[in-house]
Amino acid sequence: MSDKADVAVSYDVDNEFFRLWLDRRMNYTGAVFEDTDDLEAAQLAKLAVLYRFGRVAPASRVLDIGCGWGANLEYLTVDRGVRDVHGITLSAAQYAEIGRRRLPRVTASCLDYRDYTPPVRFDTVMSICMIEHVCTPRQARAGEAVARYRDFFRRAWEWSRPGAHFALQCILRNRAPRQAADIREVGWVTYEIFPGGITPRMEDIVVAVNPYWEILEMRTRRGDYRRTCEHWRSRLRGHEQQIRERWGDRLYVDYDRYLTACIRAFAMHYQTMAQWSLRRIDSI
Amino acid sequence: MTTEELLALVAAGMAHVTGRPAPALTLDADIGTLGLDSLETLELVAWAEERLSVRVPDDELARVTSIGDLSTALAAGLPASSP
Repeated sequence: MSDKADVAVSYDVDNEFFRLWLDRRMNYTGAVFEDTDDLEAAQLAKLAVLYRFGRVAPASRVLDIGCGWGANLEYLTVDRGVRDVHGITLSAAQYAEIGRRRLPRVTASCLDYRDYTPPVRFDTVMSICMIEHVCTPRQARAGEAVARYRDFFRRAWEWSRPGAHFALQCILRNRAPRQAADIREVGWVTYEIFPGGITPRMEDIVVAVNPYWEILEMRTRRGDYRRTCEHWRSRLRGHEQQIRERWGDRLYVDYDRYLTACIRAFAMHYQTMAQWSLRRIDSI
Repeated sequence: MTTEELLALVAAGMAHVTGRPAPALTLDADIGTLGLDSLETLELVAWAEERLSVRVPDDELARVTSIGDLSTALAAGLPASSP
């Protein structure tokens, strides 16, 4: 699992920096571009897919593991009227932003999900591009990935009521790069932008959900995440001077490099994005 | 290709990737213990694949931790030897 220091590298740069190039609600995950090329609309479409995948309803109690700056928390309560939503993040900066938003019927915890003790059992669990932090590269090389993912799914099972659903979104790694330049760039992003994290392979998730969750639906959206990164990079470049002046050249150059590497990674099938609808297996 | 030839190729690949002479290799040697991180291991695989004209399936790459694992994965892509 990425530790607090790892998470700080990835997400605690400065909320105002991320606000410049993410969408208005600060979704830092892949959007869904169906019938639109607008990032704001595409991020809402992504959240709508996950709302359906999680079988969420206004009367639901929802747990969002790895809730970021609260985009999904805000969508569920403000747009959908969901009565009770709790978000978990290990990022202090993200937790501060959630508090700043004063979202109705939203509570949040700033902690490692493994230290979380829920006061109630949830109707829906959601997790959007957080499972990439559950296993580190070193742990993956030691063959621990499936066991760690299974532990994640076990906890979600324990925290949810019978009949619950789980809406999961994650990046999956697929083809390994063979060109030296691509290997270096993938490695640089892994160790410099997202230390302590590694994307799972699809088969790892398929195995690890058992015996706790049944896979109802799964679809990949590789092109959508590539387009998301293209939008982010375009917005980043549109604020180049402001970013360089306020945070320095290094930050701008690093994030332009990182988003460029992501665009290529999706284009070259090194990674894809998957959305999963899971249903709790109550008798195990 | 014999096991000894494969090990020699892997040793040459390690030297190429790390810029240092490779130590004597055995099949049970752990790649991480030999000083290669995951990226260098990938570069080593890519280098060896190019020379052997094979491609190791990506799901198998995730399971390569020893020199023996690597040799087996590379050999699996080679044409079977004639009797």
